[in-house]
Amino acid sequence: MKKTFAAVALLCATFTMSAQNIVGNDSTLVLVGDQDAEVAFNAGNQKVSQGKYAEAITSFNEALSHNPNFVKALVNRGFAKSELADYNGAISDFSKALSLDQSLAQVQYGRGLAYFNLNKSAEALTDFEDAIKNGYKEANVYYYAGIACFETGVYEEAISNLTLAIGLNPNNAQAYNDRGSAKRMKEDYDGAIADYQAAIKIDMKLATAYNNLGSCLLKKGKVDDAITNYNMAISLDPKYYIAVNNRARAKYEKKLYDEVVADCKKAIEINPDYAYAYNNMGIAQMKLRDYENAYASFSKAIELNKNFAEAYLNRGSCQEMQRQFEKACADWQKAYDLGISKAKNYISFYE
Amino acid sequence: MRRLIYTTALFLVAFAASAQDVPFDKNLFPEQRDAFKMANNDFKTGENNFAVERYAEALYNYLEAYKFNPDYSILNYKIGVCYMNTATRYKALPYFERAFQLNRNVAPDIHLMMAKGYHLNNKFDLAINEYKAHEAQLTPVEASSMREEIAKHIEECNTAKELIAEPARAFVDNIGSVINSRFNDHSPLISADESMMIFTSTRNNGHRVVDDQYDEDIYVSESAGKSWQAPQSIGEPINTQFDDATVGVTPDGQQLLIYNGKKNGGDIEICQLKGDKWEYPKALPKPINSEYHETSACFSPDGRTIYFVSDRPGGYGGSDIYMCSRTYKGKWGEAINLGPVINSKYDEEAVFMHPDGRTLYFSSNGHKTMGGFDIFMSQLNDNGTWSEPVNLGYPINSTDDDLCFVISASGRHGYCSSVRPDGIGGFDIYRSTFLGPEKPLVLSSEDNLISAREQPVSDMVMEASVELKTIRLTIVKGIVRDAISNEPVSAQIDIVDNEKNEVIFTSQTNSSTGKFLVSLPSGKNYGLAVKAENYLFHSENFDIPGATEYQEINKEIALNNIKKDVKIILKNVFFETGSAKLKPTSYAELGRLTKLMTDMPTMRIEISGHTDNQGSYATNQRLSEARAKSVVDFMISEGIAANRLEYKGYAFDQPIADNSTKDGRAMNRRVEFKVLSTE
Repeated sequence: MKKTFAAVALLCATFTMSAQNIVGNDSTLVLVGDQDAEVAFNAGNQKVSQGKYAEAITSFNEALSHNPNFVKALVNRGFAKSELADYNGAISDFSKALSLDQSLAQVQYGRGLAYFNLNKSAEALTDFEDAIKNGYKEANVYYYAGIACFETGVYEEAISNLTLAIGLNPNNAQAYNDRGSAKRMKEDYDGAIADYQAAIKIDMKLATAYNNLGSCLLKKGKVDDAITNYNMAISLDPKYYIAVNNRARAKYEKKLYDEVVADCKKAIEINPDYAYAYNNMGIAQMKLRDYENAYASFSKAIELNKNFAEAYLNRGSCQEMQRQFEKACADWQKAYDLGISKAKNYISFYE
Repeated sequence: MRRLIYTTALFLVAFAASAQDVPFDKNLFPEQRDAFKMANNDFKTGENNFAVERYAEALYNYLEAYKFNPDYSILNYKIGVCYMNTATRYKALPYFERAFQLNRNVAPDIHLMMAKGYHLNNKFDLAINEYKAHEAQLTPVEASSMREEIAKHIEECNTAKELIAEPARAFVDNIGSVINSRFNDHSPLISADESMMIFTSTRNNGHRVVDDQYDEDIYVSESAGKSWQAPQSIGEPINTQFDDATVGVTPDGQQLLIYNGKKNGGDIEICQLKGDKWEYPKALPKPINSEYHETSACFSPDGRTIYFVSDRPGGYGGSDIYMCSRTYKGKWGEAINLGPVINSKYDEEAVFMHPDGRTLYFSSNGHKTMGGFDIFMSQLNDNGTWSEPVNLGYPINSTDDDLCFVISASGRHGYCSSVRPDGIGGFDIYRSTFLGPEKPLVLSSEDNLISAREQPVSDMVMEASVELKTIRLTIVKGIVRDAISNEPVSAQIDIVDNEKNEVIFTSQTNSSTGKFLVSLPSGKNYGLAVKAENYLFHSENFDIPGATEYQEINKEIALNNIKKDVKIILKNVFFETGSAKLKPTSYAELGRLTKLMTDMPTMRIEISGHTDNQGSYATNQRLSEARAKSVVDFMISEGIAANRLEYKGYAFDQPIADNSTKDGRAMNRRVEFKVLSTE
């Protein structure tokens, strides 16, 4: 999220400069005699530069009380609200500013980021595209447009935008990482691996890129290489429980079930609420024919995530091995209800 | 290395000091003269029994002597040998181990005996070492004759290790003391629906005892829900004063195949159940029986083919599985060896054909076994060849003999005879509960795919999917009764392949209970016709597409006497859609009706057509009448006088089911006949 805010900070600085130009060029936006609004606006900007966003908002409020159509104040109050994670408030301010001046590309970008922070990727994408259309063709706009495309499932466009972002800023390791992820979603694992490796080349401490690279290598069946990369991710971030769980997943492929259990326990130690690790541990315990503990692991996964369909499916299979056929069918039914259609086949075997 | 040798030397000294061989010599027991005398008598009696191969009795004597003197190498060895010659062979191991500990040269084959003991107790690496040790001490001449056997045993050990590492998805349970006794209980047979079990036992039947076992008799148990009821002797004329053993039973339980070891080198006999009485066994004819040893047999579900085991010359070695089919005249054709895919150079035994008519189960000690006889399965391919036999795996199979496997029509439960440590005594009957193919598990992982997001993206990975195969078979069972009195009726049941217009299987209801059971493999349109003297026939239709999985259908069938105004629905008469044109699949049913009219030359009938309520009345009336007329025209063409036949279309005036449902409408679309007069 910090990256998102940094981008907004950039916007603010840019806008402040351009707003001065606007004032100079378009006096209709500032009513004659609004000296008090200007004073309050400047005070707000001062607070922003000091990181005192709440106080800045108070100043912008005062400026806007003198002049409700004071675009600069609306934009910068929106920024301050964003910094305080009041994204809906920010969107309201940015939207009003845009209603007064639709050509403010930076503001479209700022509102897009606010939508992005609210996980409204489709709305964010519209704003990013409008910002680009209106001439705001910065690397960050393409980057976030790429991510918004990714999140709306338009992976080809995500790759295009991220490629443009990389073209404008070739040292953006995150853009490489994220483009790798978009390629992975298109099952272009070789392309994804190349991008993750490029990200690592730029930023050798990017633990997520090592983890993602490991997962792609696992998809390619390169289990040992996957484990090596998970190890790197974990050594860079010893609390990276996701990578620990993924390493367990890779070790499962090598049938190292004792080690899978150990890694899952490690992931759980870092994050005691990590249902996925409990689920994977249960599977390894089943392979070790330790059905009692496997049952306990799946049950814990379900306790942590009541809608964990896969854990229900697995627990059903565990109970089958414990000769609890009726209970197994009950779990499979739950898995079916939660969306795993093949669970019905399992049940039909006992009907 | 030097240190290792030193340690070994120390061990040998200690071993020699602690393991002293103590023979039955009265001078070694000066303080225990009376006890020694009794134990020595036991030992000598044991020796006498041992000499005439009465191993169970010898074992009893030896174990008595052993209580007094457990440190005699030869006694330990012979106890082991006795166990190896009884059912509970796995118990021999500690005695062989002790015998060797007391005297490394106790017997020339001590390494082989220990190898077998370890093998039976699932200690495969030790077994392999001992097999190799035995081979190493053989003379070149002995080695040349034993090499193949030793290699086979070692291969069995390796197979066992593989099978145990990847066990079959089945639970195996001793069926319990209601069925199993301390004697040998074996050769279970079950009806297709598992409602009845017939098996062989050497339990106390009041006859003579030989080596701690009575002669074999056949027993019957019926299932009461999930449990078996106390077995009853099948009685005379099947059980005799000699060995009488189960071999096979038809899916409906109406015909029993038994083994008679007294006749003709060992023959198969067949017994028919009439009501609640078994008829006198009759030997199956040549070429099924021969002057050689026929030990096992079973019918295909349509009764037209018999699979049997024989050690007649011309096979692939030992006993082999053969098949023999009836000719169109009902005679048995040539006996055909199932070939080298099924038959090995060793023994194949205990053949069983599943009610699906395609899956053959048998025991073999020649295919890839984990020791002794294991149970194998092979599928009959569409081109008439057999698939490579598959070992059913551990725990269904064990390192000892696993024999006489039968499986329920549903494929959920199998039954076999085996000797296992949890046994009640001797051979016991075990039940396998099959879980089907392994269900893939779903692993959960996730990645931080997007740098700007803390929320990871999930990736659920399901293990390689396995198709869940189930038996594609329909079991139709039920009771045929008199429609008025409700009394069971002895009736003939014909199963007709409607596409081919041919009777593919004929069965009889039990004359006492009226019960019947037929198995119908998926993929055909079947007609089921029930016929009995003085009754109008009854027909049912079972259209079972190829993908239909295992199902059981219960039918209560009421037969009507032939009398005025009785109506019968012709369920296997089919027309082209929206037309009165008869489909060829109707011919078998109409043939039955024609025959009825021929057999009852004075009977007059009305053929009536009926529709559902879809469409206008006028259209339906025309169609129903045209269809009735088509049937009448067919019968006239078959030689029935026109003046004995009337036809009428009732449209949807006489529904027999709810027209608001699809199934109801299907039932309403029908052709019936009604008896107008019988004289």
